Amino acid sequence: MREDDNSIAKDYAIFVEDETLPMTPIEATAAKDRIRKDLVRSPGQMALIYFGLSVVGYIASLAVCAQNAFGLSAIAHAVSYHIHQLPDPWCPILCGSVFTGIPFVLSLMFLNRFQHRYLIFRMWWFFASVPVFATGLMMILPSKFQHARMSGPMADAVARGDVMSNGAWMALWAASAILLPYILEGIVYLVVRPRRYIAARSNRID
Amino acid sequence: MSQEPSDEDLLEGWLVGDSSAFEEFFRRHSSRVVAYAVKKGIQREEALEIVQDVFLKLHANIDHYEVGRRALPWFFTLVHHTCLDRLKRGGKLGARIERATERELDALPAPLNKVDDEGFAPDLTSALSRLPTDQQKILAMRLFEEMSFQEISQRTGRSEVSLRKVYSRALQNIREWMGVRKGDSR
Repeated sequence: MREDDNSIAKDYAIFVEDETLPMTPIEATAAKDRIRKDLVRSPGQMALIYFGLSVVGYIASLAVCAQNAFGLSAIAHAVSYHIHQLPDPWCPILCGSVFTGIPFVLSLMFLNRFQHRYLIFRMWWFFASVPVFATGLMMILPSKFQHARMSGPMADAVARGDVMSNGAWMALWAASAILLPYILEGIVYLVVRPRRYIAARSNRID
Repeated sequence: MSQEPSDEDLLEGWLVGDSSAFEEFFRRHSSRVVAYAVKKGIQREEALEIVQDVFLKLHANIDHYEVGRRALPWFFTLVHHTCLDRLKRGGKLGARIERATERELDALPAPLNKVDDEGFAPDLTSALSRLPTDQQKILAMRLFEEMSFQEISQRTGRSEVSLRKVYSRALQNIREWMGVRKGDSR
C-alpha cells in the first residue's frame, strides 16, 4: 500500500517536472473543439443567446396570455374561466408567472449547465435586468391589460365584484413577473453551484 | 500588471463556463500530459488521443471539482488513470493477438492466408506486434472481433475512410514484413 503511494508520488513528480511535449496547433484544435462548443466565449455571445431566448419566451407567453384572455379556443376559454374564478390576488400572480415562466423554461431547455453557471456567476446583472426590462415594457402598455381584464371571461370576475384596483393588480402582476425568474434561477443556482473543498475529509495526495 | 490566474482559478473559470479559462488550462497542461504518457511507454500518436480523452473526461466531471482544492494533483489523478486504462487495453489486445487461433488467422485476406502453416503464427504475431498501436487495434477489431468499418468508426470516433486507409496500411506492412522473414529463412 505504502509502495503504491510512493509510486504515485513518483509519477506525480514526473508529471509536474518541466519536461513537456508540445502539441501542434492542429492537434490542439482537434482536442479542444468538442469542449469549446459547450463553453461561453464572451459575455456578448451569452447576452445575445439569453436575450434571444427571452424574446422568444416572452412572445410565447403573450401568445398564451392572449389565447386565454380572449378565449380563442374552447380550452383557452375554460382555462381562462377557471383562472378567473380564483380569488383576486392569485390571478395577477398567476398571469405574471406565466409571463416570465416561459422564458425561464426555454432557457432551461436550451442553455447547458456551463452557460447557466456563466449566466448566474458572471452575468447575474444581465440576467437580473431582463425580467425588469420586459415587465417594464409591458407596464407602459396599460391599455392592453385593461382590455384583457375587461373582456371575455375576465369580465365575469369584474361583474362579480371580485376586483382589485388596476394599480394593485398591475403591481402584483409585475412583482410576480419579476420575482418568479429570480426564485427559479435561485433553485438552479443551488443545483449547479460549485462545491467547496473540505480538506479534513480528504486522504488524497493533495 | 495583472497576476496570472492560478490553475485553481482556471478550473473554477472552466466550471462556470468560461472558455478562456479552459483554453489557458489546456495550453498550460496538454504538453505535460503528452510527455507523461510517452514516459509511461505510450506512443506519441496515442498520447495525443489520451490528451483528448483526459480533457473530455475532465470536462464531463468538472462538476466534481471542489473550489479550493489544489488543481494539479486532482488533474494528475485523471491523467494517471487514463494512461493506466490505455496501457491495460493495449495489454489485453496484445494477449488477444497472442491467443489468435488458426481459424482466426485463416480469416486473414490473401495473400496472408496462402502462407504455409509452418511458422505462420509466430511470423504473424511478430509482424502484428511491430505495427503501430492504432493499426494493431483496428486490425484486431476488423479481423478478430469481426466488426464492420462502421462499427469501428463508432467505437473509435474516426471516419470510415481513415480507418480503411489505416487497415490497408497495416495489411501492407504485414505482407512486407512477413515476405522479408520468409525470404530470410530460405
